[in-house]
Amino acid sequence: MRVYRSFLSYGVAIGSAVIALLLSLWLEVIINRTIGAFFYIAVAVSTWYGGKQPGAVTIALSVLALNYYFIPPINQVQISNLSDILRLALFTTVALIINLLSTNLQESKQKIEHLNRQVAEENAGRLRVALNAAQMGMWDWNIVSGKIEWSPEHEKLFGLAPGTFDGSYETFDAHLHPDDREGLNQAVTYSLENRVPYRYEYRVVWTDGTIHWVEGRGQAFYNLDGQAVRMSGTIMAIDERKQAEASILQLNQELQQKVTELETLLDVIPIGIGIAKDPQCHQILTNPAFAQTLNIPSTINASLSAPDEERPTTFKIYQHGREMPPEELPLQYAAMHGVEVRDVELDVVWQDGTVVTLLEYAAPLFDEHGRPRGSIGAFLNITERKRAEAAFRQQQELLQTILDHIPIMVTVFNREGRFQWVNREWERFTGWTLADTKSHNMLQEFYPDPQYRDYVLNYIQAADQSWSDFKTCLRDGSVAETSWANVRLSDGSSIGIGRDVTHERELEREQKRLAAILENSPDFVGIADAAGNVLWLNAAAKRLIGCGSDAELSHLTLADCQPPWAGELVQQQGLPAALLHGSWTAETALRHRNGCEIAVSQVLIAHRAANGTVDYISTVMQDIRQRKQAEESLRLSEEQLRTVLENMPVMLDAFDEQGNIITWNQECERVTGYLAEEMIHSPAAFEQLYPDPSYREQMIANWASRGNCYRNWEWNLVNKSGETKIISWSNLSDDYPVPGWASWGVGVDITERKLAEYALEQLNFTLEQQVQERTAALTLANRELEAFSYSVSHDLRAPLRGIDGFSKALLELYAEQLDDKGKHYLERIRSGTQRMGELIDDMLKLSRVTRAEIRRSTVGLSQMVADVARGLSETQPERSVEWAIAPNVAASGDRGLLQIVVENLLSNAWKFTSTKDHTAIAFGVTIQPDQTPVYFVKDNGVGFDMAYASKLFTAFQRLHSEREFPGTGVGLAIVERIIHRHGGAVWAEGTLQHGATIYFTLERYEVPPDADR
Amino acid sequence: MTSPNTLLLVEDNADDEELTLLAFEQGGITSPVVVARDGVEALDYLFQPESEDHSLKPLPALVLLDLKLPKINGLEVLQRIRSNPNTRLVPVVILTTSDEQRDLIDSYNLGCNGYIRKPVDYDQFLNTIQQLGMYWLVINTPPPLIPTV
Repeated sequence: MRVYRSFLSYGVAIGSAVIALLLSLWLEVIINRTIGAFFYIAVAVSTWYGGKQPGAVTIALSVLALNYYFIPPINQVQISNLSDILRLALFTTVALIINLLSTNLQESKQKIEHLNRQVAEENAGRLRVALNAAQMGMWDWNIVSGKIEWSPEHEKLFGLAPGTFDGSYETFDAHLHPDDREGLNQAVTYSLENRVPYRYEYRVVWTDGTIHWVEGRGQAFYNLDGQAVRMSGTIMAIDERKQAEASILQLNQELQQKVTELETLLDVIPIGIGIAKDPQCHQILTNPAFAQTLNIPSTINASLSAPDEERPTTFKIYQHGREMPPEELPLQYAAMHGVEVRDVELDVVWQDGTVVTLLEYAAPLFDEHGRPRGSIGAFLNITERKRAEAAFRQQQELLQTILDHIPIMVTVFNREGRFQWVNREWERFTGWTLADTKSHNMLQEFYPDPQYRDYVLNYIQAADQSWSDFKTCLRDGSVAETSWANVRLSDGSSIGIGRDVTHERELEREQKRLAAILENSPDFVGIADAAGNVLWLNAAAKRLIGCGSDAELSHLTLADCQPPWAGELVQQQGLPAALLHGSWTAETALRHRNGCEIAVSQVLIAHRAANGTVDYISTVMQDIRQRKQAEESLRLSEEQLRTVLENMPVMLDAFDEQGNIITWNQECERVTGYLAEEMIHSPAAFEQLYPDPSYREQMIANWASRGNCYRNWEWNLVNKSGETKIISWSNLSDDYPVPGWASWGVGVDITERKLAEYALEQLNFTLEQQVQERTAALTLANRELEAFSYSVSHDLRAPLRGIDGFSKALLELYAEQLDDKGKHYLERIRSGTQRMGELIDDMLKLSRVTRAEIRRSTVGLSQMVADVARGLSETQPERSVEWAIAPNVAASGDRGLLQIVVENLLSNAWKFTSTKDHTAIAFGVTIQPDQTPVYFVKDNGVGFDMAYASKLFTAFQRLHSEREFPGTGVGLAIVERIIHRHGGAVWAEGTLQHGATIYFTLERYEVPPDADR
Repeated sequence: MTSPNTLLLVEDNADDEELTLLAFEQGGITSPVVVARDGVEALDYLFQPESEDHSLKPLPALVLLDLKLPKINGLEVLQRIRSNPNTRLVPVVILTTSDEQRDLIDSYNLGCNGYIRKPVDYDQFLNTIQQLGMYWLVINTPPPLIPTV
């Protein structure tokens, strides 16, 4: 730039020199002598513009131009003469001076400008600081162009960054709060029209939405025509001021409200308020309540310390009957001494005697220096309260007196159900005191049973005011019946009211019992008034007279209940007697409404009132129809009894206390031959009947020792004919005493029977002896049999063994000495001995079965049969056998013996089927029509001829030879013995070559007739 | 001197004695057999603690006891054997003709070691004796000797 500028300066220097040359050349014709002037101008211009050096360049060029063009020789750079040189020197000098002066002038001008600029800048800086500090901005509004200029502070107050305001009025307008836009425009218009300074407070809405208060001030400028052309001024942020103003305003409002509230309160509060404005209380202001209490207008001075003319005179103040001096009054005292006065009771007394009691409070008021400047006080009218308190006290005393003296228990329970208070009656009745209720659990004392206590507690808590009875244990241990009602109070506590109803309840129950007895009495019971009008009849009475409804009773008299004759009897004899003696009894009658008469035994009772007159009468009538009938039937039965007793074939006698016979019936007469008149009251009766003195004494002594309580005591008496009779006497007088009879007895003549008995006894004795003898013989025989079989067991077989053994020894040891026949004989000996052994064994078995004891139990026959069958099959596995064993057959019997039965039967079947190619053996049971089970074992063996069936069960009886089938013939005999010993039966059916069936039962059974045994 | 496997046969019947001895012989039982012919003899033999040379006499390996015996019967003999501390362990087998239940019960109650009924058939008897001897004298281990005192 500087280079450009310096080139420009030199350009100007060269240019101005050229222009000066051209001008000089052009104007040379016209103005000859002023040629140099243009060059001077050129120098001046170039120097002014470019400074010293450009000026020098111009000078140099000007010198050359002048020399070349204007100094001769023209158009040569030569100087021909001195004068031209001088001219040029002069020109140069003047040009240099111009150059110098112009340069200095330029410098001075620049310095001045610089200084001016410096001053201006300083001023602007200061202004900015000031504006910033004052939160002020400046604006300038060119009204003609509409352009607005804002200082950066102004932009800031509008929430804009410095330099961002575009200068349009619309932008300004857009930032205004809508509510203030109108007012601002008006303020501006007003200012412009009236030529007054503009001032307006308005709100600005920043771009961030916040609102700020500013105050705008400004002044318009006018042109000569009086037109406003500009307006400029300031704005200032006034947010804080606005806030302060707002809070002051609010404070003022609140204060105002409070003052209003207080004033209202003073006006309406029912408490008297007095305010003393001076320490001496010369002036006391009152609120309406206080004025009303004092009965003065609220506008006048209420102070008794006021000057005479202002002081109220209608009332005086007393305390406990003493008139109070004004300075002792609470307001005065508080104001004077600067202290609070509390709870002072004062009486305001008017001339007419009216008294109002006030409760006063006063507090001093202090000025800003802490000195009392007055006082304020509150006055409570407690006249009513005092009166109410007095009335309450009186009522309480009354209540206390009542509670203390009424014969009713009163208890107060707190809300937890605990005893809070009890009255004297309670203490008297329970034996406990009020103090005890605090230290004892009274409910536990009263109701020891926890369940019952819970019940009572529930009742107390329910407090439903109903009465309920309780059994209460008192302190002395007795139990009383009490009746209680509980009332709940509003505070949750309750009051129990109770009384002792033990006696009352007892009476009620007694009364109920009596009423029930009377009501349910089978007798007619009626109550009537003195005139005989029926008041009440019991159920039996209504029934007896056929009275259906209670309505009928109202017109009934006692006389209506009886037939006329009975009514008259009652009227004429009964009532007078009852009135005289209290009651009267007679046999009268009732009359049923159907006309029937009922015989009754009547009692009439007259009840007298305290004054002796008859209050009412009652009567009881017992239906005696049955009694009458009973009397008759009794008489009859007595007669029957007497006839029986007199004529029965049993002796009946009776004795009085002295032992005399007083009854002697016909049987006695028949047996003894003595008549009743001979015996009754006869002192010799015993001697006659028992003539042997020692026998008689023995009998009497024996009788005395037995007393009157024996049966079938046999004694002999001698009858009139001298025969001895045996009498069996029984005497039950002690157990069944008969009035009038000290003792009575019955006897049976057993003489004949006794004789027969004796004969029988003799016979029995003989028989018994025979039985004993035979039993002994039998026992002996049994024992012998046992010994025999024992001996057989031991001894009989021993020789056999010897024979067999030695035969064998012979056969073996002496075989060479024996020929075949000898050997054969020895073999025969051996087989004989062996068979003998078997026979002996089977015989023993048979005898054992006979002797064995039977022990019954349930025996599974099927299983038993199956086991034995298996055993048999194993002995000859080669045989083809089909066993058909019915399952689950059981029987009751001796297990061991039944095992023998099964073994024998099956082995027989096994044996007798051995010749068959195919063997079929079956075991089963058939139930007979009479439910008897019949068991059977059936085979398909050789069978037997039914003609020999009876021999099958005989011991040692055989239907086959030993060669055909080995055996001793004892098996079935053993079976039969066992079955018989079980009480059952056994029989056989068979056909030769077609098998046999053995049937048996284990209980008594009739064998079918076609079956032979 | 008695052999430790001596066998005491208590038998009153001469036939049975002979047959039994014959059966032993035929059955190949070579143990010495002492025969007592009644209960007293048997007990004398058993309770005689010392032999002639005062050496301790061992008890027989087996006593074959008949029940029906003169003087003292077999059950009593058995009872005495069992109640004597010296002999109470001696094996005793009842060898009798009886098969009475009563005898069986009594014998076992008194502590016999076996009960054998003599069969009538000599073949069976021989067989029985052989097995008896084989069992008691060969297979079975006898009780140890109990020192006296």
